[in-house]
Formats: sequence, structure tokens, C-alpha cells
Amino acid sequence: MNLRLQPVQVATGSDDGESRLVFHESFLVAVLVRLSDEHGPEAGKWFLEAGFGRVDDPNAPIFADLDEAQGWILGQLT
Amino acid sequence: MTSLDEQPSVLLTEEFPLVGMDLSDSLEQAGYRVLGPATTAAEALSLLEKETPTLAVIGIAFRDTLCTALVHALRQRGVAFLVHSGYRQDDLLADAFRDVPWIIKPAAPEDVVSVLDELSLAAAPASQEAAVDMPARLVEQNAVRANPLIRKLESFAPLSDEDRTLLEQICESPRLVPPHTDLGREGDKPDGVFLVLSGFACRHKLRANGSRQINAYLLPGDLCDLDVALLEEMDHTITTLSACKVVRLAPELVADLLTHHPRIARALRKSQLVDEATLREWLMNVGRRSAIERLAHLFCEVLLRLRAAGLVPGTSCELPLTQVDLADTTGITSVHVNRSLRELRRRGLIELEGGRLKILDYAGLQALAEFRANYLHLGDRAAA
Repeated sequence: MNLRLQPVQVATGSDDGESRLVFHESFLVAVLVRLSDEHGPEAGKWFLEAGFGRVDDPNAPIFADLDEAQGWILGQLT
Repeated sequence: MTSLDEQPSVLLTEEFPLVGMDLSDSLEQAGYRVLGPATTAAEALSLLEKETPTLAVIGIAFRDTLCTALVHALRQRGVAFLVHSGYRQDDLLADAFRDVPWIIKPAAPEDVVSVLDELSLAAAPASQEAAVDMPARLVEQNAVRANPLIRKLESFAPLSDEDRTLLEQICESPRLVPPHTDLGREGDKPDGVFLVLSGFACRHKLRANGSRQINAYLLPGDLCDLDVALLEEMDHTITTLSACKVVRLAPELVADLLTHHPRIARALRKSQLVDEATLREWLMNVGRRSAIERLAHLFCEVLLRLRAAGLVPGTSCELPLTQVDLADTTGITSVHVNRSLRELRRRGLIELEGGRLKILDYAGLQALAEFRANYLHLGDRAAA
């Protein structure tokens, strides 16, 4: 099972802009946002801004990198 | 206003030098003069020979055989102390330390300072000279420290002198509880009604994955369900968020208040209605407001409640909460809390730093949150 990432900017109302749309079999399943310096120790990590369907989870972890985020998203989908 | 000599002193014992230095810095910043840090009980005892401190922190292992001697020496001199230990209080020596505030290592230095502040307030005599025994920043706080329960209940129903005396008696010997301590856990048999006299506590529920929803704050003067004794088991957990002074009211005492003291009973029932109304408002918050509106609403509410308890004269207050606490209260992620706090600051509505909330533009904050204080039924007590 593969995911496709598409770089995008998201208007989060903060400095967190750099983002990825995450597609699974041509469906948008998640939006990941890279946390900016304003998040201190979490800066540079990836945040699940939105998850759709089975990827929707209000208690999702913050991911150290995009690989970790994709692994988690795939886990939700299977 | 306070010279070095008048500063309260803390005998700091800490077996790990790095932790000791860190703690020492935090204590000095908070207005304490530090004796030590001593890394062994022997060292602490020799410091104690030279000077009797106002307070002490025991951060050395109990296997240090002189530790018992140190505790004894502190007790003999009437020095209040807290224990900062890798062990839980239940694990050892529980009897000897039943009344001692106990903080589990590793704790944030702020937590140690806040428990020490509580000790300092509790140890200080209720007079002008109190200034000598506590950091300057606490003196003002202490001056407005009328009994928050009485202040709150009086606004709900007129009380007689006899009622006030009775309530004072009930609040006479509060227990100092460190932050993050469960007072009652979901599933436990209810063990009386908890009354918070200082600090922040909360009611919350946990999911199996550990995620937490805070359902209510218990602020000074607040107590949990009056009739909880009717239930077989607790359906939620009550935990301190900061260091708290807490009184446990036995079910018989609550029954007596409700049966034989009609004015107090009326005020307590009204207070319970306000708790329910507040819960409805919080439900509104998590269901129908945006992240930034939820925080704005919460800040308006907390300020008004602290003002009503007579604890805050102006528009700034202690807010001993982490971003995770705020996230779990408002049902959003800590990322959203961080973004929203920044946005509130950027709009010039609040400042939040070092556990202190300053509302810069109350009207603006109120408008943003569509905050209406009607559900608190404060009358004119806390008009901001």
C-alpha cells in the first residue's frame, strides 16, 4: 500500500505553513503540517492537521518525520 | 521592600548536585534564600546547626542513615518541609510522613517552588509580620486571602456569624497536596466531599489510550458533589493540577450542614447549580466554539471565578496550567493551544507567561468568546 505526498501551504493562522497533502489510491486521506519554530521542542516535527475517514483521530501523536507519519497513517488505513 | 535578611530561607538538600543547582536557581528566582544545596544529611545537619531556615526541602535518599536525624532536627525546630523523592509516599515510612507534602522525582522546579509557597503561606502567622516569612510576591496574595469558601457561599445566600464560624472551623486544617495527585479515582468508593482552599484541581476522565478530558476546574472555594456519598463508586477522577490546600468533608459533616444549617445548605445547593451550569457552558465550548474562542472563554471564566473567591483584585491571576492541561480542558491539541495563545497575544488580548495570566483587553476577549457570565450567577461580585 502506497501513499503519495504533495507539498502544499496550509493557512493555519500561524507560522506553521509547510504542509503535505497525503493521498492513498488517489483519495486525500490526511493533511500533515510541519511545526514551525514557535513550537519549541516540537519544531520540525509533523502534525496531523486533518485526517479523513479512518485517519481521523483527535489524539494522533506528533511525528518526528514524514516516514513516521506515513507509517502511522498506513496503520490507520489497514 | 524585602532585604536579604528578611527573605525566607530554604534549607535545600538534594543528592544529585545538578538537580540541586537547578532547584537552587529556581528557588532564588522565586524569592527564597537558599542554604545549601547539601548533598548528604550530614552536610544538611551541619548547615542546620548554623542557622534555622524558614523551610526545608528533603531531596536525599532515606537510605542515608542520618536522614531520620535530619527530619527529627527539622521537626524539633518547627521547620516545615517537603519531600522530593524518587519513592512514592505509600512505599515507605508512610506513617512518619503522613502530613508532609510529597513530590515525586523528577519534578519540575516550578512544582517544588509552588508547594514550598503553599508551605510558606501555611507556616506564616496571620499578621503583618507575615511579610518576613514568605517571599515578597506572596505577601499581597496572602493579604486578600479571606476564606474563599465563605466568600463564595455568602454571595449565594446570607450567612450568620455562627455559619461563618462553623465554616472557618471546617477549613481550619487543610492538607497540602502536591500537584498531579489524585484525590479520588474513578471506580473508588466516594470518600467524602473535597473542598479546595487554594490552587487548581480538576475533575477528569481518561480513555483507555490515556487521553484525558478535563470536565471541570475546582478553584479555591469550590467543592465537589455534595451528595457523592449516595453513589457506590466515583464515575470520574479528581486530581490536583497545581499544589493545593484541600479539606475533606466527611459525609456525616456534609449531611449535618445540609440538615441543620439551612443558610449554608441553601448556598451549597446554589453553588452546585452553578457547577452544573458551568458544565453546560463547557459543553458548549467544546462543541460549538473554535480553538481560540474556547481559550478566550475559559480565561474570562477563570478570572471571574478567582475574583469572586476574593483571590484576584485586578485582571491578572495565577494560572498554574500547562498547555497540555489547557488542551485537555478545551478538547483541542496542544499544537492548537500554542497557536491560539500566540494569536491571543498578537491581538493584544492576553499575556501568559510563567504561570501568570494577564488579561490586557477584557472587553475584547469577552467579545471574541461571546462570553456571558450569567451562568456563574455572580451578582456584582466579580464584575470585570
